Amino acid sequence: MTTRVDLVDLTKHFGSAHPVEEFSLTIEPGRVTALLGPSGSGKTTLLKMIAGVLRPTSGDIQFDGESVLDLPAPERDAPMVFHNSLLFPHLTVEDNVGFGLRMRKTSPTERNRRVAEMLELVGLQDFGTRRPEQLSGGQQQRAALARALIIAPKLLLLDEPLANLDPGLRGEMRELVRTVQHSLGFTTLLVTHDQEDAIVIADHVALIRSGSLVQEGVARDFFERPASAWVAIFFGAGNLIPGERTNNEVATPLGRLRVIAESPASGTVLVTIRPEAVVLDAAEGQVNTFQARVIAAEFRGSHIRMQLKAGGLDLEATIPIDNAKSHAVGDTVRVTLPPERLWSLPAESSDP
Amino acid sequence: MTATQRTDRVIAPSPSPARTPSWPRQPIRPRRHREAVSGRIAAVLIVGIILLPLVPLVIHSFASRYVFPQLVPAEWSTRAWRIVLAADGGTWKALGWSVAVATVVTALSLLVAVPAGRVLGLRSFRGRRILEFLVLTPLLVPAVAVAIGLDITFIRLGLSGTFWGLVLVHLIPATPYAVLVLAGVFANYDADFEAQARTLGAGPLSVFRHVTMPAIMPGLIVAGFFAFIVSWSQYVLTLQIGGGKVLTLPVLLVSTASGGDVAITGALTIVFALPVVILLGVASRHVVRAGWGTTGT
Amino acid sequence: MSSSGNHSLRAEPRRRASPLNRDRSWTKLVPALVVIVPLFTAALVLAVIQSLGYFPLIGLRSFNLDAYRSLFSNGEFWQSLLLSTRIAFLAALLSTVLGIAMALGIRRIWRGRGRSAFLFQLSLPIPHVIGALAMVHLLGQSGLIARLGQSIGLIDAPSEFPALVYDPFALGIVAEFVWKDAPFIAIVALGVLGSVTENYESVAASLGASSWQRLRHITLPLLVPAVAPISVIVFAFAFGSFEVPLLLGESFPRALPVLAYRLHTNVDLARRPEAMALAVIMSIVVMAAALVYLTLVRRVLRGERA
Repeated sequence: MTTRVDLVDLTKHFGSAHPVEEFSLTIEPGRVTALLGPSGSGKTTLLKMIAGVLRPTSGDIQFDGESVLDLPAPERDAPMVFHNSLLFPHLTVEDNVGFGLRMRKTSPTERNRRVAEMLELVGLQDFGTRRPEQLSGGQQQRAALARALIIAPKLLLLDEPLANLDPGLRGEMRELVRTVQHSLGFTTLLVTHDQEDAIVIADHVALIRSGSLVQEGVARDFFERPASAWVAIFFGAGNLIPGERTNNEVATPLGRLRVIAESPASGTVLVTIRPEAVVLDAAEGQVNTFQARVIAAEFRGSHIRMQLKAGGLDLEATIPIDNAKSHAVGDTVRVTLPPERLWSLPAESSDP
Repeated sequence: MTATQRTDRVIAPSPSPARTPSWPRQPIRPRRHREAVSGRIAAVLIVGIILLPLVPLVIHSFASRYVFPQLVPAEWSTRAWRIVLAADGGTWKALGWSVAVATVVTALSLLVAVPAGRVLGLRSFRGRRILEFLVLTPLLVPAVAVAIGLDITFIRLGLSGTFWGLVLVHLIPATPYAVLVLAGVFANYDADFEAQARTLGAGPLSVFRHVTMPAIMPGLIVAGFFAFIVSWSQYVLTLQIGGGKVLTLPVLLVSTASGGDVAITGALTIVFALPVVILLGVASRHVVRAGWGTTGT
Repeated sequence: MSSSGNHSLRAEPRRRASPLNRDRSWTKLVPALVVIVPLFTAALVLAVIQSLGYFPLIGLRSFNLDAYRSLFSNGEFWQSLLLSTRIAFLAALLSTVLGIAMALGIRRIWRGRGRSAFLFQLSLPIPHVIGALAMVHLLGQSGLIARLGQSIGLIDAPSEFPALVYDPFALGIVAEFVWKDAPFIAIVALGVLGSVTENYESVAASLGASSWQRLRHITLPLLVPAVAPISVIVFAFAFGSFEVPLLLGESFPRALPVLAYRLHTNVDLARRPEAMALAVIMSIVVMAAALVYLTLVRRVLRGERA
């Protein structure tokens, strides 16, 4: 079922604490939207309000244009999957997965058929009669996912579902969630603090900070076109170069840098560039080129992470293994910052 | 994904679109206030219902004429209290016996229950459930059965009517409670702390004194509390094994009650109840943390 | 103790130890066993022996089932057995239902369980002797409730008030047990109804379970493992309690423990084997009831199926 969900100026106050402040977002039908933010940014509070566990202080939540504020949680059709699977310990896996259907008084035959289907979809077809404690963490999460999907929900809510899993397992689970969601097509809201979750699983990402929406768009936008210095840092753009911009040039300690016109901000700015975009030893005659000294060079498996110093600034560069010419600590190297990869931001404070 | 779906809103928060949603304003304060009031009412009700049965006896103890249908005594008097608290009366002797027996029973049962609880709680071995059930059995079997079963033998052994005879029989129902409580405490206990202390050079006694004891202290207090109450409240075991020679407070109270003087009965009841209620106050500060957990078998 | 010196650097394993754990920690159980086992088993064994007629004190040295036969043909025995079983069953049932209801009710009003646990434990230390005496003066025909009834005009004389103590239905007795034990069960239930249970209930709600469905399928099944052993103890205690039926019961039929005691202290020493037989029977009944009950509970939990 593809439901469109609108959050309109949602606010939640707990006394003097304001975890969510006038938050608005549209969750497009049939898509996975990730609500990404650091711990304490209010994302779980938002999730609970959408699920019906918490009442908003003000604002509205609409499913397909109709407000669901007065609908109690059991009637919203918005099941949640948590980071601890919360599979009912006294029921078998089958009974867990079929729970939602049993509450809807589905006939046992129909229920068993759909449970078997679901278990197969998540790869747990041989585990139906086991108890939750007999399953590994990853298997429990798969069962929890099946339990939520089986009722054909209007909205699937995932609250940091991969947080408790080993890193190796996480990749597998991301794929599973993505595949399952694509084949079944439910509107999904994924709440997470892990960027990779958001990038791999979601079609659309909304970045939340201190209860407010900071930026939304496809994952790439956050990397290439961050809305603020905070966003840039959150996504690992370690290079922030202060300067004064006039037209398409910025005067910085590294010299005059050319930036592209679409790049916003003027006046006092911070210019940011991703470590992967920094070019070393480019051909002669490029713009935005200067000399830098190598402070550190770490082998990281698939790439080399280099720390450079120029104009009193520290710069970070990530060079793929194949392109890396060997540079020792202390060497001087020619650095180029391609203008199309530079992005200028208003020079505000980046404190949380 | 079509271009129109790439909502590239870069700066937030977006102004709400042309909808003007109406939403109910929910002020927080009234709801919290309501909760506090109904909470207070519930508290008063609970306390009232639990304490209600004791009220008549308390009133009787201060009354010299308090018959049906009076709700408030026609005449008040402290006669009953003067009799009960008289220095040469039987009350103090009975109180002494009760306190002495209960204290020794508590100490001994704790001594025995700590290692036993440790074994039951810390490890999971085959047959643990059976062992737990076995530990539970002295609680299940009627005290009368134990009393009359041991009667003749205790007389033969010269334990009947003695302090130690009483202590021994009281240990039978008291120890299982202590063991169960401590097993529950040890189930949540991390023995790694002790290993740590040992690697730092502490001997076994030090480890126990500085690591184990503080950690299980709340459980010890609860276990001791239970053991004390079990011994303090014992009736039929004392009645039988005491052989009529020993009077603890419960035995004295029952014989007083059959005497028909309700005022004296009431006063003696309060004397009997007060010490353990005070103990409850002391122990409960530790209980809320430890939980009254008897482990779910 | 040399055993503790031996494992100086080895962290004690918390997993499943092998069945033949040579770890000598078994020895730590010994003191407990020394105290409880001999005394307790001795009591039972002696009761069994004496019930079979071996009673040298009065010259009986044969083993026979006379005592049992005499008991079984005694009408009062069967009535007492029925009475005690009924009392115990009602006490366990009512205190469990009431205790759980109180816990659920309190949970709605109070978030934290600390304060409620404190209030519920007020009846914990009160000995049953006091509880029984208190019930006499609360529920008796000239007791407090009766007097309240008179003051609002419901009755005129004590005899008009229903007999709640010394009554054939043993209402007063059951009331005393419920008064003492329901709060205890409430405390245990509150221990389970913490935030973990609430999370399960939230999940169930989000899957579409109404509040009644949540209670039936989630909350109660989670409560049962913790509450069941306690209600078994309540049953056993109510069945074997001496002082409460002594003070609150009718003179006929007497509750089983009271009957046993009277037989034991009977002037006619020949009745002692009967008292022992009664003790044995009581023990068997209680253990059997406990085993049956706990097995049933386990099976019900395992078989929670569609």
